Amino acid sequence: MMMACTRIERLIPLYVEGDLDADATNAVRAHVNECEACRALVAEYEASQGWLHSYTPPDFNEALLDRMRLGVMRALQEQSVRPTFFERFALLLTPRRIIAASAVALMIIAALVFYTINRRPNADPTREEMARQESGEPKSESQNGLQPPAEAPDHIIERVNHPRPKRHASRYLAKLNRQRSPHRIGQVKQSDSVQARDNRPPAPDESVEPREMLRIELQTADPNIRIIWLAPKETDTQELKPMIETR
Amino acid sequence: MMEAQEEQAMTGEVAETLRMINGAGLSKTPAERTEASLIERARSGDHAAFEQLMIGHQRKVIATAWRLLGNEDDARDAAQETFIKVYKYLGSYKADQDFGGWLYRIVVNVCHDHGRKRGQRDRLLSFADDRAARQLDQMASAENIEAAAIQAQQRALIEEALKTLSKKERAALVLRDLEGLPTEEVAQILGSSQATVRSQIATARAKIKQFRDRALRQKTRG
Repeated sequence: MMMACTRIERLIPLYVEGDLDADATNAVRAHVNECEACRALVAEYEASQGWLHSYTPPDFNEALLDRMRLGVMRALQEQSVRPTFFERFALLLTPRRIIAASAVALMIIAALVFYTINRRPNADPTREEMARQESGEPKSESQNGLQPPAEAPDHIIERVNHPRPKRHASRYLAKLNRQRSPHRIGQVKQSDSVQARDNRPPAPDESVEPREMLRIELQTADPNIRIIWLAPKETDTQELKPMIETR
Repeated sequence: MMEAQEEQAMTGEVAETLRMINGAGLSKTPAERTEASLIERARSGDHAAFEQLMIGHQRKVIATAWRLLGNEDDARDAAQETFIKVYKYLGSYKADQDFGGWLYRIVVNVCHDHGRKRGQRDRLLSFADDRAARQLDQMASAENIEAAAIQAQQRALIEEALKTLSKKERAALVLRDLEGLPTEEVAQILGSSQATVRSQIATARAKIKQFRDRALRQKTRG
């Protein structure tokens, strides 16, 4: 069966210079012998290729080549033409290698993300609850009907293993400062995270006596949740109203 | 049984001999051995050896650059830059590689950079006039003047046709049709697959034919 002309037309540019494999060449040849239009097209391509082959460079004379060589030799003597580290590195960057390196990098990143997500505690609270039930431990507060108080400020409840615990204390103290006079703000600022977290004594040469902070920690049944309460020691009792209400 | 063992032993000996020959570079022709020795010396900083290497390849390099860039001045600059790069990167050249192919790859890359740097400036007309004038000067006899003018005009026309191709199409066409390299080698030089190169060549040939047909039609009308 003869191939369609449209298909043959696409093969003719390769056929005229012998760039097709044996089967395709035979198919085109058989078609061309039968089809006059395609035969004419082959003749046109052959003429075009003959025309292209006449594109011969001018005869570069020896003087020009000598000048070129001299220029190269001078460049070699004048400057160090050894490749730099980056140039040598760039040589290694073939498209295939770039693709392979990108794939490896993506796989490493994906593995790291997967590992991090799986390693994070409490990623799935139900799983932990199930484990506790299996070991026979009592249910957590929430399961026993002891809900955390709705009015407890969010910034006071923090996870024990939170990576940025200091920021919570700072936020709380900043809120506290906003409620107080500017005179006392400085005092609180000086003593905020240092006193509250590290319990380090204040520097002896400080002109203003930093206020001591009261730190109350309540451990919930959930080992990962601890309620921390920070307050100035001389705070009025009115301010020390409980943040957790039990029913 | 004995015969089979002897045959196996002989096959082993042949293989061993072939390995020795290849290891010692004895499978290469004298010219290739000379070239390998020049490369080795040039790699260790011998400028004279590098100059010899350059003499052996300068015509091929400048002709390819000319076909890729289309004018003599750019071709000379590109050839110079190519040889400087060859010297620079000789350390990364592997002895089992084809030096010619490696050289072609550098020429093509340098010419691409060259074209990018200077832009595709349209100096065709001035260059064609300049080249035609130079060629006319070179032709001593009066009867050659007409032939030289026709040749110059034809070259300018083909250069115009080649300008209709993309960079990659032109490189593939020049290497395959004008330098006469097999498709496989062209693919290696250009870092593409053979199928891609074949497709580029087919497109390029079709574009050249189209350009020529148009030029012929205009000539007939004119």
